[in-house]
This record gives sequence, structure tokens and C-alpha cells, in this order.
Amino acid sequence: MSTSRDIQSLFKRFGGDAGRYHEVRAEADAEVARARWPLLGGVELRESESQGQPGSRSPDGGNSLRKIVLTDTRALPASTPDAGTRNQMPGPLKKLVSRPAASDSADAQGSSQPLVRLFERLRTEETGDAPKKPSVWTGRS
Amino acid sequence: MARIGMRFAAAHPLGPCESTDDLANALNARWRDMQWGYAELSDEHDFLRIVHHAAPLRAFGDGHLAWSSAFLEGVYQGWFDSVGATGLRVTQDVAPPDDSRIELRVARATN
Repeated sequence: MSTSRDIQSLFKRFGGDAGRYHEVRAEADAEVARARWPLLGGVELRESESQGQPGSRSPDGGNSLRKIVLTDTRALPASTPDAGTRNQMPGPLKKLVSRPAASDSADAQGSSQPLVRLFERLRTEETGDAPKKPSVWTGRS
Repeated sequence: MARIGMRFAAAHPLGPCESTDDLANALNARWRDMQWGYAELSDEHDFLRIVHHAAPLRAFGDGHLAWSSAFLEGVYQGWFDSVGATGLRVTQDVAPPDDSRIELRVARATN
């Protein structure tokens, strides 16, 4: 039986208007996501923020994204998600997002380059043929 | 969002990085602390590609991914500036179809 027919049957049995049924799963998922990643909880969605471009760096810095968002949006959510909920992520997902990519082949790992040389090359070198196999760095120690 | 990302980068400095390995390690240490996915860097000769995996940007809503990923653009711009990439610009490579893989490139600023 489909979900919608299931709901219709329930309303038929217990009374009420199935048309007024409201699916709340998306809201619940969003709530769970905000609890899991507190960084998201501090960001207020505003259309004007989508127009932002990288600009000058903050001279004062800040201690948290929440502080930063407060500066930018002049608004904070009413409650602060508990940071302890971060550790409630299911095992496999936690493993996925907590570890850097592990390449299947050691050959795919590039030999480390000095940043100074790399940046200088990107700044000055004319475009040309790309190497057939680019060096990849995954942060895997 | 990019501006917020820049400020976030300033508030969470990478520390000293001398090499591409140092940089990849430092970037992923920051993302790992927040469980915000992980990044791969690859040298494409003309530009440096950043592939950010598993950023939880879906929480903003599927229709917002085009601009919410600008947060990552700002963060990486701030971090790359801090390790000496002056004159290079971080831009989104292609519009991401979902938040499982967001590609950015670091290349010479054209303007």
C-alpha cells in the first residue's frame, strides 16, 4: 500500500481530512542536520548573502563561526545546538566524513611540492598542456 | 556566504604550511574537527583543483546549493591567502549537482 493511501485509510478510520495531512519529515531532517553540524545552526538563510563575494579578510578574526555569522547577519538562533550531538553520527557516515580520502592506489598520491614554488608557477606561468596524471594530495598521513 | 567563509578562515587559521602535503593535512584537520567532509588537492598545471567531498550543505535545502557552496569558496580563499597564495583566486569550478562533491579551482586572478 502506498504511503498516501495508507494515510487516507488512517484518516478514514479515525476521522479527519487527509487533505490537511502535512509531511514533517523534511523539517525533522533539517533539525537533525542542524544538531549534527552546529556550524549550520548559526547561519541564517538570507537572499542577500548569496550575493557575497570574497573580500578583505576580517582584521579582528573571531573565535567561532557563530560570532562571525552574528557580525554578518545581526541575528542568532534562539538556541545553541549541543556540541555533544556531533558524536551521535552513525558509525559508517562518521567514518566517511571524518577521514580524508584514501586513494586506492599509492601511485595516485603526488609527491609533495613546496607551496612557494607552486603558487609562483600558478601566478606567472602561461597556460599550457596539463600533465597526463595530475598530482593529488589528500592530507593522508 | 563567501564573506562569511573568509571570516571563518580567519578565525580558524591553518598554521604554518610549507608544502602541498602540509596544506592538505591542515585543511583536512580543520574540516575533520567540524565533521564537514574532506578535501583533495590536485595540480592541474594551470590551476590547483580543490575537490571538497561530503560538505553538509544540503541542510540549506537542495535549491540553495548554487550559492551556499560560496561559503567554501570564501573559506578556501582565506586559507590560501594565509599561506601565501597572494594574487590567486579561488572560484567554483562547475555548479555542483549535489553536496557530495564540490569542485573549486585556484588560479591566477584575471582582474
